[in-house]
Amino acid sequence: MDALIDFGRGQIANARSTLTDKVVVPVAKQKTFDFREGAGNPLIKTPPKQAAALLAPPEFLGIQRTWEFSPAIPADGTFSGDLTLQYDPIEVPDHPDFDEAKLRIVSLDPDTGRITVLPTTLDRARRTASPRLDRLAPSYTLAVPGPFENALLTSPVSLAGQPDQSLVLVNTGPAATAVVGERPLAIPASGQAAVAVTLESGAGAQARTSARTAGVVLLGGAQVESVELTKSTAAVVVLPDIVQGANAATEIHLANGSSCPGEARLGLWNAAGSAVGVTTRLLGPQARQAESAQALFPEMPAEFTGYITAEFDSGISAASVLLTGNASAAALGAQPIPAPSRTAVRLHSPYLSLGPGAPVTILNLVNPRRLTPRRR
Amino acid sequence: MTALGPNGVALAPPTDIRLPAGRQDRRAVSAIFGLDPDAPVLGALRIDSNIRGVVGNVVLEDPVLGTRYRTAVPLDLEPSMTWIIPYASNAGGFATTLVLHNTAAAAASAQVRITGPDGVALGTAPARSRATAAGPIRLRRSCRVRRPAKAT
Repeated sequence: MDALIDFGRGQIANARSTLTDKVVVPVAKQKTFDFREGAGNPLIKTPPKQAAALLAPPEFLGIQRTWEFSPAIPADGTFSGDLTLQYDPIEVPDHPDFDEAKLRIVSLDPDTGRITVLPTTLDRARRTASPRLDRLAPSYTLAVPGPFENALLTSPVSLAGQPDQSLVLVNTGPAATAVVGERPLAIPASGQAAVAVTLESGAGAQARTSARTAGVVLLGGAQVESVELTKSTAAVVVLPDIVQGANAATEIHLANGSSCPGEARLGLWNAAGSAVGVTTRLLGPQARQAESAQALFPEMPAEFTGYITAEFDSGISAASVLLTGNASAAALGAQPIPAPSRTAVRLHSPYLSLGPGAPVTILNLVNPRRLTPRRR
Repeated sequence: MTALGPNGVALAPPTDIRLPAGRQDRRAVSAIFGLDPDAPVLGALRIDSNIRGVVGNVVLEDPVLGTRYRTAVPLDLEPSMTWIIPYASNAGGFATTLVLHNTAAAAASAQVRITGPDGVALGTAPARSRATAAGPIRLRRSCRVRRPAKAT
């Protein structure tokens, strides 16, 4: 089932959220002995039973690294060995429920979505994790299995000069507390509730709250637009709709929800798939910034259609906002780039309209390139 | 790519495009399917890709190139059994319309529940029903869409 909401007056917003039908374990770097550089970013799907569970909490908090193996070896008696993975403390997620002592090695098959938590010997002094293997999966990462009690909801979008920005949270579990900035908010129990917080101009939205909470940021002004608050930040993402012209310009919004400095590496591609520019932005702890795409990429032509791919350190999220002066703003959160595979998929949009006075419906499809990783 | 009418029937023959690695295709739906932009219709879009990795969005904008309003909605890879819509309003000149699209091949029913800011349910639209909410609804509502588990 797909859904969408129309606020009337021709203002259709993507004000919808699933609490967790999918879990994205962020991946920024790949490192192992016979691995393929830059081939990561698995979009991990929960098993169907769990995906169907009503409002199940996220299952994993993963570190910012995967180890990939090619070819994979099935459990056919031909392979046996000990695998030792070493991690770095800077790679662990900034999440209230993350407990390093609970790290486990998780094997991933991006093609099938199969996830297996392996018995793991953890050496916290040496920062190593070791399982014994009787097969070799396509990739491994380290993650803390859920369920989790808390969630960190973030949205990078904030429009300068727009005072009517609100954060709306919906709690589907027992009574909970959300912390927005330094401000605690009680959210009633019993399924659904909503609260609104007026954000200061220029401030973004981040809430520490129960795992059974979803939310959106509403951007007021000449029209209503909204951006879903997300629970997880993927490390390899695409901003699929970058437009520049006489009637439109695109802003890129970045936010670092982490307590550590982070780096965002962005690449601009035109519609033909040619690289236009690459740039890097450093964001301090809890820092945010919004820049026009043209300021980020001075190489961008005055008339342009294309997309941005980005790699983020832990905790960084992004969105694009397509602007027409002060008249309209279309916000679109960054989308994780699914691990490419030969698996056929089906994408949906629940709305199209035609007719006199109806909104014009534009379909934008991207088969994105990946930004070449740059080691620091 | 298939444009579907409100009854789930294709509005036009499906259109194939080849999207090489790195490429983008951004066009009005009327141009993609050869539909008359002045013929009123509401519907949905379905995109079948022979590989995993394609992403995208739909932009809805006023006919004067977004000079009055514009919004962008990401394409869904995995339609959900449950949607939480954190905000609904019919105050202050707003009207809220919920659009549901059954992406399955079989018929399905949906249950829609709307609640106030205190978490108290204001009403339920039962499965296989059609209803219009009555009475005043204040700002800052949330509603919840749930498809019964037995549905496919």
